[in-house]
Amino acid sequence: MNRPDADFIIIGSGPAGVSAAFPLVAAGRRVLMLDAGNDAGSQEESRSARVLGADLEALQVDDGSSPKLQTPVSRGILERFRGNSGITGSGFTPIGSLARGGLSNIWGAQISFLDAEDIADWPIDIASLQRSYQRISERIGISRNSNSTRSAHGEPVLPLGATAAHVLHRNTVTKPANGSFRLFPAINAILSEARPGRAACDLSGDCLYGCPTGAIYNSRQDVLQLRKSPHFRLLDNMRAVSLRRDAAWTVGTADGSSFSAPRIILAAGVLGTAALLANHLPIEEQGLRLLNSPTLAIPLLSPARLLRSSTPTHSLAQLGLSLRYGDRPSDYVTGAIYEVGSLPAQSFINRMPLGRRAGRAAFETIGGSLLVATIYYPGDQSRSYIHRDATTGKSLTIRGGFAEGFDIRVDALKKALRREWKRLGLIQLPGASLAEPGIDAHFAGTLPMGAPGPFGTSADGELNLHSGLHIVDGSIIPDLSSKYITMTIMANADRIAHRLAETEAKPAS
Amino acid sequence: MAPRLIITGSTGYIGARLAAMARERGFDVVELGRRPEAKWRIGDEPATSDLEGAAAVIHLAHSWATGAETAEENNINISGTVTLAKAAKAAGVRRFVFASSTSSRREALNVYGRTKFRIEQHLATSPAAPIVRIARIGLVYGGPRTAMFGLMAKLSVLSPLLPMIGLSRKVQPIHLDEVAAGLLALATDENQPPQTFVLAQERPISFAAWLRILRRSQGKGKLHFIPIPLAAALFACRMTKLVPLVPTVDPERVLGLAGAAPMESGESLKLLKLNLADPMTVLSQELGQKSEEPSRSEAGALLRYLGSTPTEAQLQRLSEGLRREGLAPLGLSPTLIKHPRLLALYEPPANRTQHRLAKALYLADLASEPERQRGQKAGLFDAILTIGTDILLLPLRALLARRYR
Ligand SMILES: Cc1cc2nc3c(=O)[nH]c(=O)nc-3n(C[C@H](O)[C@H](O)[C@H](O)COP(=O)(O)OP(=O)(O)OC[C@H]3O[C@@H](n4cnc5c(N)ncnc54)[C@H](O)[C@@H]3O)c2cc1C
Repeated sequence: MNRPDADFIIIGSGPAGVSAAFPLVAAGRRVLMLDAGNDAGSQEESRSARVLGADLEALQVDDGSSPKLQTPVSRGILERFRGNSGITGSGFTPIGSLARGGLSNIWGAQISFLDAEDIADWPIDIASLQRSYQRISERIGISRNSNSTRSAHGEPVLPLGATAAHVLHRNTVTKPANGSFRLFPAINAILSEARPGRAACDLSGDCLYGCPTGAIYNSRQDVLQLRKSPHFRLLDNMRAVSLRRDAAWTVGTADGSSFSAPRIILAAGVLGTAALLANHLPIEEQGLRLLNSPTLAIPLLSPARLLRSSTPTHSLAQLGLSLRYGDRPSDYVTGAIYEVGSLPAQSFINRMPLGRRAGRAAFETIGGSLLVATIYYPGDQSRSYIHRDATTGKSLTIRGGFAEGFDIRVDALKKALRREWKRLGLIQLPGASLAEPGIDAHFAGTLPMGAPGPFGTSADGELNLHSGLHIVDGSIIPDLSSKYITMTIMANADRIAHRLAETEAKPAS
Repeated sequence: MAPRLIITGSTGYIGARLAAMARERGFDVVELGRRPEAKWRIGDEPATSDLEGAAAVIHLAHSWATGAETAEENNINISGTVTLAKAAKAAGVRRFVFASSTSSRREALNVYGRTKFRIEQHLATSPAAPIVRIARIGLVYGGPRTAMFGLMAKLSVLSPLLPMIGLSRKVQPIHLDEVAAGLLALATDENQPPQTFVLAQERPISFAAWLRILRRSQGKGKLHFIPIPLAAALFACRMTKLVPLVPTVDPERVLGLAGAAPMESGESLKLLKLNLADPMTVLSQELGQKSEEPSRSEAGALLRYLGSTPTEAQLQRLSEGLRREGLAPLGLSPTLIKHPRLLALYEPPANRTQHRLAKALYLADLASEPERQRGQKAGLFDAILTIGTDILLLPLRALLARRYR
């Protein structure tokens, strides 16, 4: 038999893939990473190219999706997945990427940490997850937005937008309706201080167009770090299409090459991993369960901030919030507040019943006092399933939907939120919208850790009935809280990789 | 010394290009005819001194003064041309090139075609016959958008639906430069046999197809026709003479389109070494290039309307974006281009995303985004004025917005 290509083959260079690679490489294991994308980053191009696209692709008329998903960077990251993954949606927008760095090329960099209660049903203990949170935080660099008037205790901070700061201040001086609402400066994976290879955030507000300074964390940056190790090898343009096990595992790719290793680590993103495993799983009539977070966007106006000028800051989330609005464990939402004034005006003006010139004048006058809150529900409020095409048995369709009674809970939430907006001196504007399932791109729970049967995995992410096949992305997160998920995906991948480094094949000396 | 070439009708559509080309090729061009200092008009006996020493006379001038059909026999164009040819022969000029037409026929429907035919006949029996070369010219296109070509180019983009007569009439287009080159060859090439030449595409196409080519080459879509019977068209022409303020249409023009048979041009083209280009290709280039100008000035107007001082990069981006979205040219009136603020009268609400002008303004907004200064604010007063005006003008704009829909 041929010598295996590596001790571990990792499929996918997104946040999950790189987080699994670091501990293995550090322990001297030979890691081969395959990614469907390549290095064609858009980092050093002119602003014009970033905003409008190298081929002016942004000058295509607005397709109505969120501004974030419409920028040229986003189109570039998402389009290949749309075309090549073989996954379609019905009442569901399947979001995935086949680009080096995965969705972290366009993510919002919002960070949440789960606590003991959140992982009560997981087959792991909180201490091991927390150690991994710590390691990941140090590696990727995390900053908090801070009110610049308050002193920070030496921790890295970014200036808070003036309107957000005003709202945060109101929150401290007015008495909460009950103790269930929390508002705090957002925690973002954005650098406030330079690091090797990455500059600090320059506050230009260009975040949506692919951070040119590299201040926003992107797993591409980690790939560059990993490549410095002799144990690590990355092969670009290698889209895995098949997995086969004989004595070892063999990965077949779209260009006909194949690579083998005793252990395979899948980090292709929840949808990418499902596509790769479709032939190995008995996906029947019912379909494969997929957790995603229903999301609600709410426009708000701060009358007290009308006509005031804004503080230069980044254009990602300024504030984080959470709210318990009922008695059930899942009556809990997490969210973020963005300042509209720091987002591109066009997509807002496109929706106004005013002429463009007047629309722009209106935006410039009141944009600084407008906020958008995005609210995420826990995954059990969604009802989405991945189905296999009955005739071809190959392509996958995701049918999206909401949990029973969801509309009633939406009303309860809106009522609770309105009370809080009032307390914060905010006016909720018309135009709140619930997004189509999938748009949130917070996916989990297809192959949960600790579950028995063909769809479960071990605490080490090893797929039941398939020894040597580990999964480290969101697929194995057993339940999806309303909190931001990526930090947890990364920590969990780190945790698993540490375990594998301890227990699996010592390096051949 | 440069050979001398005499051109009559040198201020016309063909004449101007021919004179320019001849000069470029080193001829000493003498323009005979309609110029302020001109001593000669068609029908006059030319001064021998004007003709002496010339290598050739190319006669393009045609007088439209004799409109009446009864005047056909003693049409000034017939006698005038023969007089000029005879004088040229007498002055020792070696070649006399007469610009005729592919509509030249004894039984032609229009006076023009019949007159050209008569001139050809008279020249052939005149003492000048040995130096005469006749060029029957097809439907000339290209170059400046004047004369018949300009009219057709405009007509073809007027609307996707055109009432038109003579749709099945076959036409044989030829580019202005090719005509000029052919005439020049006839005037200067010693070896051309004394015969009638046909300067026109070999393969005739229907007039309808020709208008479609004109429309497509200007970046517009399909063209549909409502065929009009000849009698109705002629009647309409007569009516235009009676109705005040409506431009009159000469029935001559209508009759010219009504009927003609194609002419064989292959041999002539071979003799003159003319390799005719494909009209669609040439036109797309010429008209495309020309239409870039209006689309650029439109781009400038849109950007200025949105309050930016357009940079070169923005203009380029926007023109390109407008072109790709099929919005160029939008057809903004010259007044609007000069005073973009007036666009406020025509602008629909920004959420009417299917409206052409709304779309174009969205692109303009986006095209100026990379250079936009963050936090740059219009004054409050200005903003209120702009928004207030916008709301007040709404009913009026709902009405006017149709114009650029
Ligand atoms: C607009 C947007 C905003 C977001 N904001 C936030 C946020 O603020 N906070 C947060 O926590 N999360 C956010 N997310 C979600 C976050 O991006 C994802 O959770 C995270 O990227 C998942 O990481 P991953 O490594 O599991 O998968 P991915 O990032 O999807 O990476 C998958 C990788 O696998 C590769 N791949 C896939 N299939 C194959 C194959 N067959 N062969 C080879 N390679 C393959 C891809 O090229 C890619 O490199 C956001 C997502 C989007 C789209």
